[in-house]
Amino acid sequence: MTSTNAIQVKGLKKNYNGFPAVHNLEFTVREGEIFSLLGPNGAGKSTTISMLSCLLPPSGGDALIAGHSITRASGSVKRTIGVVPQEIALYDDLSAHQNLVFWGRMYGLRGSRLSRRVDEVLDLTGLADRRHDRAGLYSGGMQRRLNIGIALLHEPRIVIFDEPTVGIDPQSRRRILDGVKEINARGVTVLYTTHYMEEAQELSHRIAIMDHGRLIAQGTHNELMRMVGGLHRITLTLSRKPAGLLALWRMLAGVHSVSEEGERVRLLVQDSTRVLPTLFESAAREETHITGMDIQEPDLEAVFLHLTGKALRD
Amino acid sequence: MFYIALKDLMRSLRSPFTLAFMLILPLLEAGLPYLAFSNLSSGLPVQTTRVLLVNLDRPVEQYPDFLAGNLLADMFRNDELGDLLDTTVGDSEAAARAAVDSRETDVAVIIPSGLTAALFGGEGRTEIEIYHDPALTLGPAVVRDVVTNFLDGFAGSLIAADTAARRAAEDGALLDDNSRLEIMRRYGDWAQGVGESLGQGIHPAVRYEASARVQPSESVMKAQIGPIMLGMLVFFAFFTGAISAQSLLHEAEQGTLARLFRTPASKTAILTGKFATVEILLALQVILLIGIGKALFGIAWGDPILVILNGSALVVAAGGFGIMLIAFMRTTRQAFLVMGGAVILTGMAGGTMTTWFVNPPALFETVNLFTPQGWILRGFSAAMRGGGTIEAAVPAAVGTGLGLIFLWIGVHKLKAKFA
Repeated sequence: MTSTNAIQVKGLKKNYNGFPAVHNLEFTVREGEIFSLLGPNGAGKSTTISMLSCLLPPSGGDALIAGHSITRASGSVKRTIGVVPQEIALYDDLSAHQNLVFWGRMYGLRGSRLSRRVDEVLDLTGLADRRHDRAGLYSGGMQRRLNIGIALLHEPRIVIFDEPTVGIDPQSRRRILDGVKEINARGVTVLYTTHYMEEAQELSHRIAIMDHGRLIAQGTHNELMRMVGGLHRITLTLSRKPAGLLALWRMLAGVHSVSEEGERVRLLVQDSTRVLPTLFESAAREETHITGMDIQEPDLEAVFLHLTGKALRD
Repeated sequence: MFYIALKDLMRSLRSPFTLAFMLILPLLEAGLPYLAFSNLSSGLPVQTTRVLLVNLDRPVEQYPDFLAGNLLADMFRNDELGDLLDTTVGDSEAAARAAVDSRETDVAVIIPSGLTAALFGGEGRTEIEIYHDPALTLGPAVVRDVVTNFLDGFAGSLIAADTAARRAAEDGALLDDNSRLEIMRRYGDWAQGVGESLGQGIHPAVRYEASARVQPSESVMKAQIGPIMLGMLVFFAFFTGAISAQSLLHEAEQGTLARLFRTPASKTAILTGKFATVEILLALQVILLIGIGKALFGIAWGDPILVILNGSALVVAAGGFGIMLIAFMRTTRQAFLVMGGAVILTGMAGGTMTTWFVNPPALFETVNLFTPQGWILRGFSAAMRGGGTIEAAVPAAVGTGLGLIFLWIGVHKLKAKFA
């Protein structure tokens, strides 16, 4: 990882019918790092990726990809980056080999370089033995690997992953996460979007958190943890939720926030050990039973809760 | 652009659905009636009628060696009637009737015992009885005609013999019975010859000659297969245009179109590649169907230049129509319903299903003008019947023009859609 910027986003905006989907985005991705955009569905991550990959024109602002402007030099940007889309975007009636040859040509690869890269990607994705089978006959995991392999064909300096683990089994997810680390280990800069905080936490050198089209925080994992000051997160399941009880909890010393999430109540507290007895006593006074409890050390979920007042998966 | 077209062609030509609409369905639609009815040239196939002849006739004293019943029986055994009538001889009137009742035979012809006597002007009246299966019409009618011809011929020969006898008597000579019979036999032979000619629809005094310069159609269906095949060619070309243009929506739904737009290839190159595939597939379809139509059914498509002109117009019109329709669709499901309906409706209004009508209603001819299919059909039809260059080229030009307008609308709509 170097201090040079691979991606520099400057006041990027996107409006749909006057509604701001992405609002004045500002962040930088350093060369060689894995940078995650973390946020719930509808936060504006995919719109941001679409603008950075020159699929959508921005309504305002700009971004430099390896020094190329997405608004003025889209051709150069497209040659520099590889994009792994959220959905499996390949031709299922063509073989893996035919898919790779076609997409390689679309990125301008020809002749021996094309053949070499196709072979290398087939090896990398573990599909060399089934290169001539129709992609439609592959398992979901194999199709995912081919989907990623296509983005690597032209040896891009920057690879953008748009929520590549949505809707897949834990085993395939593990392989993809390992693959992302492997790609990064080869010196490729990775911009990774997800709404799974565990993925962002595991993969990223730095993380930016998005909500409602805005960047609400960014930094390393430790920097973000410091934002919540080491707060513990307590999730309680109550037999009922008297309004007076929640109001009382909000006023307790050491309680930073109280939020409702369905049948459960989430609290961010300074020290769970000190607060818990008071919570149980006050619940008993209101004739309310605590039927479930979960205590978590500070994490990105807590950061999101702290910044937005709601859970990341809302 | 080239690689996109190559990839799309490879995918389309692997798709059974596309191939079915391109080649298999038009050939089946045109070919099945042809195969089913291609032997109509020799007339409708007629089943042989089984005839049971019972000859009860007895000679008269004047001509002990002559029996009119035998003459009639000989007529039924004539080789000329062999394809129509299968005649056997029976002994009893009751047995013959029973054979018809039990459908062992189709027609019974019962020649009464006094036929010869009655024909020579004897006392009493007699009748030849034709007893037949009521479900049959053609066979009994043939039998009735044979019997009627016999009776007419016999009456004519009697008149000829009587006339000859009268003339001889006026000259003071007497015609003996053998001479009378000889005159009757000669007249009978002549009448039979005329009857056989008339049986084939030609009187011996009439010369009936077909033009040797015009290629005769081998059958009724062979004469019709050209227009039918033309209708199917035009109808299914518009289907192919619509189906192949749908690949744009398929790719949009599969996410590959967005992925294509993220490659360094320009949107113009990508869309041009996809449009080129539509036109190439159509050109392939038109060439193959015209070639197969000629090779398999012997269809004479007309002057090659005019065929190329109209074939090109068909490719442009069908491609433009498909691309224009697809530009207004959002999903493949929507496209399947709307485009299917549009192609079928315009195809029917354009006359693709009624090309074999000999005298189509005037309304058809007017409605045709409002569809691209109608113009293309006009051009091709003119080329097929050997019409003039203008007659075939003007509709081709109109078809091409309509196709280019459709294409322009489609391209502008798609540009706005993917901007």
